[in-house]
Amino acid sequence: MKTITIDPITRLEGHGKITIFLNDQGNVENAYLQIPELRGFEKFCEGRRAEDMPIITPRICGVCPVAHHYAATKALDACFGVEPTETAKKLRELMYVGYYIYDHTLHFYFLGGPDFVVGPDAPASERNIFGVLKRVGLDVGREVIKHRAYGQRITEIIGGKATHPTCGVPGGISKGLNEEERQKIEEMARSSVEFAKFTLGVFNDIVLKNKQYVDMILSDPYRLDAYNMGLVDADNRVNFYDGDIRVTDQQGKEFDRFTAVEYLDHIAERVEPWTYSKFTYLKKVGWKGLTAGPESGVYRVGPLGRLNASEGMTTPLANAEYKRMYETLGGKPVQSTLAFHWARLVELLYAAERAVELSTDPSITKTDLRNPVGKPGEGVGVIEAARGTLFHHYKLDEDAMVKKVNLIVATTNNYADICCSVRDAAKGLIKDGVVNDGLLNKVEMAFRAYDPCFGCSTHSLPGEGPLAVEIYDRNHTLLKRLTRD
Amino acid sequence: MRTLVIGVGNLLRTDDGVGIHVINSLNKLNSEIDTLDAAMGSVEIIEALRGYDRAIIVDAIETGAEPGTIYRVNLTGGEKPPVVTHSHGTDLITTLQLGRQLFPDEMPTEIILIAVEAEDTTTISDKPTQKVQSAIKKVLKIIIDNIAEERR
Repeated sequence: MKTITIDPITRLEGHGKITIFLNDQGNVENAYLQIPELRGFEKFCEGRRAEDMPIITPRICGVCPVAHHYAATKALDACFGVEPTETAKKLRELMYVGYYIYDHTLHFYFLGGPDFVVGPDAPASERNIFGVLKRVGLDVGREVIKHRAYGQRITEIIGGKATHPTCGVPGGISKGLNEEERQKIEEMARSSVEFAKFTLGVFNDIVLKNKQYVDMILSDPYRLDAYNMGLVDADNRVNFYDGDIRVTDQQGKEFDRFTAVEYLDHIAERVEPWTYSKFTYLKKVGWKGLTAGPESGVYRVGPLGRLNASEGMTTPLANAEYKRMYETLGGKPVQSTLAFHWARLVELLYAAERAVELSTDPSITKTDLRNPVGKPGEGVGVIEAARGTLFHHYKLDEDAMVKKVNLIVATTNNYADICCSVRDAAKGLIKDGVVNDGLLNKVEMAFRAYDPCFGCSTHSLPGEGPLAVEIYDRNHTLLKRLTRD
Repeated sequence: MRTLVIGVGNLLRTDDGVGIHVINSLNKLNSEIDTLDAAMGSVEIIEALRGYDRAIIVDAIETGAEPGTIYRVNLTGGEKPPVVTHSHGTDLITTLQLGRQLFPDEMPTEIILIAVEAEDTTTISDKPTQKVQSAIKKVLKIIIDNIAEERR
């Protein structure tokens, strides 16, 4: 048996390793994605003051700081039994869509986009941001940097610090918005709408007008019939900041719906011996291994999961683009992994439009910023991180010290999907022992579409678990053992 | 000459946070030095660097040398540093190249990487190991002396 290893996976946040097993005929027997990193974040938090959590958790990996900040803040709202004021909710959401603007922009131009804009078979040395700029021009590059900075600036004006915000407090937010700041945000938001429209235009011209690309997006190796999950408002529209958790099935029908506090009744976690990250699945369906379909509890989160789990967007331009996506790709749900890229751009447009809506809301500069908190207890905060649904669950003691922490992060929710997608892409694309850079990149594309980030997806504290990762073949024979130095 | 000191790294991964610890200490010691806590060091570094003449970037590094060893690498000419610990390490070089390409007249003419050999980057802790703590004091002195020299 021949083993191919792609290590490290390029253009990723954090580390990852794909191992592909070939049989004697040179076809793919199986493929695994391992997450060998060591973490221990939940233990690190225990014994700290509750109000430190929104400050500490964004440091987990630095890629989704605002998502962790608000998942933590919302968990504290619940722990202290307090609802934030209307103004605080709006300010939190405005800051939150700023984070989406910069995060989704980075993915398209730097991480996921090069495969399409430069081409999946292009040499690796050109399949990067420099290759993208060669194709779209340096002026576009400057616009990318500018709007990424706008997203950061919006989060910074409201949050205090762009990368590590300090504004979220149980029951509200520590600082309001003055008229001058509001105007600045409005201006940046309006510019971001134009930039998002432009970016969708690039996607349209380069990807959707190329039949080869559309065929690739819709091809079997990139299809996964998973359930879909995301936060929705009362009308089942996508909401990044708040709402019910909705799950839709393989026909696009509502399968499950629950609130943050009920998450443990609906989602279960599973440990596998060959990786440090847990797998999550829908409790109602159960764990059937790394497989999708109605009988398997594997569900998808993130941009494609959110769009599939919803019935539209609340802003007009994004909603029109949402409809166009489903019309073009054959109706709902779209189960093509590479459609994540389009879904992400629909969300970029929504985030920008929502930033305009919120920054022009006459009540956004009001000063009712915080409600008084109750006694400390237990609470769950849920939010849509750019990469998918994020849960923070804390138990506090009577002095408001953290007793117990459980986090389920976006990439953990998607881990089973990513493993399936990588394996299916490898099986569908690698035949008769022919393996080249372009084919391996196409396997990586199945993975990159999810925009996975492993910085916070493994939580085992070093010393607690075995410090080795073992890989097995289908017959459960140990093939390789990795140990930490 | 205007200098920006940038700290890169994850504050919670023991020695990987060395860059952030240096920035925090610099802010306390000397409020006149411009600093940036760039955390995992993504492309926002480009925006931050615009208009500066010189950048000093502080990061952790793993080469197998004695922990606490301090490296000084001049990145001005696009010289590649030795393998840096985490994903943000390689991003840094790409980021600087991209900055030069997009804003050639506004990027610093001099970019210095000060890297500290890490002992532990996998334990979750906001306190560096003893050897790296000692190195932080030396790095602070190097930076402050360097900037004072330029101003003289």
